[in-house]
Amino acid sequence: MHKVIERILNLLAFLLTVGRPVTADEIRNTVQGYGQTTDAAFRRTFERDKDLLRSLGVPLELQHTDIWEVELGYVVPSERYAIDDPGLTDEERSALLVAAQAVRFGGQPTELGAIFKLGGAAQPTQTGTVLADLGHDLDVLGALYGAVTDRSIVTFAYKGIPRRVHPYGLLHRRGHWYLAAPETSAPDPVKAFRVDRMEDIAVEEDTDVFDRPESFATSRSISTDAPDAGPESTAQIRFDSDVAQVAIRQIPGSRRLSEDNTGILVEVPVSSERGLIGWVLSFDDRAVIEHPAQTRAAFAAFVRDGHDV
Amino acid sequence: MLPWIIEHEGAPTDDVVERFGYANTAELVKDLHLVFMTGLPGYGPGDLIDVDIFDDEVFVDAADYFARPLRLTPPEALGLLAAGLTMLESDQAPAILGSAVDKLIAVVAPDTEDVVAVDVPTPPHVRLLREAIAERSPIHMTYVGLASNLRTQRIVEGHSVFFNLGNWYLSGFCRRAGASRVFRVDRIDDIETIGGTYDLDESGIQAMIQYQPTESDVRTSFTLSPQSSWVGEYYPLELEELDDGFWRVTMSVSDPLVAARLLLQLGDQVSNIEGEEVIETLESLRERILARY
Repeated sequence: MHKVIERILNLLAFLLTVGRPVTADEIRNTVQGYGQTTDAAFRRTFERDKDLLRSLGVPLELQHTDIWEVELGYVVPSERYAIDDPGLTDEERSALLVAAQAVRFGGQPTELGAIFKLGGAAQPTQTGTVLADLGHDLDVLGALYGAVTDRSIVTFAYKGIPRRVHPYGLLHRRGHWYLAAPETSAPDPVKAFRVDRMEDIAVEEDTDVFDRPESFATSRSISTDAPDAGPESTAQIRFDSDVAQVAIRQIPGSRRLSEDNTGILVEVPVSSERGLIGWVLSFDDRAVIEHPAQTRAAFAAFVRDGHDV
Repeated sequence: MLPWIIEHEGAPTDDVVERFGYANTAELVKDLHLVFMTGLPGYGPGDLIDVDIFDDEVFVDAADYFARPLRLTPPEALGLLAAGLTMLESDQAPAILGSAVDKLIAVVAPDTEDVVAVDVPTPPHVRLLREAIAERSPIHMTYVGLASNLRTQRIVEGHSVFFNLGNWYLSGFCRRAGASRVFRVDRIDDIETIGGTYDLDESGIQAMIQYQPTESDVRTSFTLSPQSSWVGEYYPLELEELDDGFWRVTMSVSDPLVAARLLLQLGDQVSNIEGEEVIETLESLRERILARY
């Protein structure tokens, strides 16, 4: 491993100072650590090193070595290599470290590499407890985040349909991550795609391919929990009295309408009928949809036939 | 580490050790020796990076090309940003975190404000529970069971309160069960602290939900459509991929009602269900619900 680190540091030092694209052959003959005897051994080693550098965040790119565009060489663009100094104080870095240690993704703690790149931070004297797990694989979310900041097109399948979108932002709400994005064919509406339901996600290479409207704000972009959902409406549900309080707490904006010996009637906001049905089912037979009649019928049909609505 | 050391010439070794998470000075010296062997082609004196530890202070010379800190990868930037925003959403954030997150956003997403948003609403119960845990006050509560939907009275010695997959949870020692339990906070009614205190070993706190299957569990298996493979992230399932993106799923539960409810919620996304006890529970649940319509 020591040899790998030495070779990587030599390679990076060379690429950061050489000031022009350099071919793999030149790297092999110039940079210390590439004394492999066969072409195949060199290629294997070099491929691994390139992957390692990229995984660390080094923007290793291929460019033509001259105007005749015959050969390609490797280059690390200076302007994309470094992060601007954010001007963090030691106290601010420590606060970020505490946050990084308190928040997990799918059970995994956040890597501390980011804090080290920003200048490191003293470990807090008291070990912080875990505050939250935001779920999902950080690599997938990171790829989508990269597409948002690079303004690159994202493709994926959603409910079995291929999609091609302009990613505007990422939002975590009610335990799920959403990608706020209009399809490339139409700037409106901005849809909310649940990241855990996106399949075969790929980010196209071109950057800066769309403009995000200045008025767009991710935090205000998603009022529904399903793409293609209609405008918000309400439903009236009768809960057995011993679970009604739980129901009211679970749905912000819900309110108690009346109470009698058959239970407590609660009005809840609805953005997706399918979402409402799943939620009401979590109360087994202790909740009954009273109104609207259409939703009540759809619920009964769903339970009877098991068909998606 | 190198950019920081280059910028802070003569930084005390202790400071570097603490700041970059080294176990001790020897570990730091080992890494610095690696750097000492590297540099620019020629690889002679003047080409190699000069590393010196003198009087417990660290000096790195001839490495100006490493002076600028490397940009964050997208997962690093998102992880840190989302962690900071989550903490800010809670009532646990130190005042200084706000400016730290603002400065971070200014460099990782300079032209696109508000690209990441984290919505972690903190209900009043969470604050009450945190206060009770901080004071080591046992809590008396009415709990509506997740599996049974039945109300029970419990006295709990709280260990921690945490947010996971959209819900807040309380972990603690339940005196009624005589064992550690995890409770969903939105299913807790009528919290009050009662007299007395308890000891809490913070090192052993469970702050994640980990369902451990046991031999007495009920098992079921079913085929799941590709569109619903996300279920695997929220339930302890064994998944085996079939043709065309379908999954054969095996699920272990202590209460068959939990599996029956999930199967009902998934509707036509599941087929070929096996497991007699779960199928019976599913049919009975279906009948009980339809009896009210």
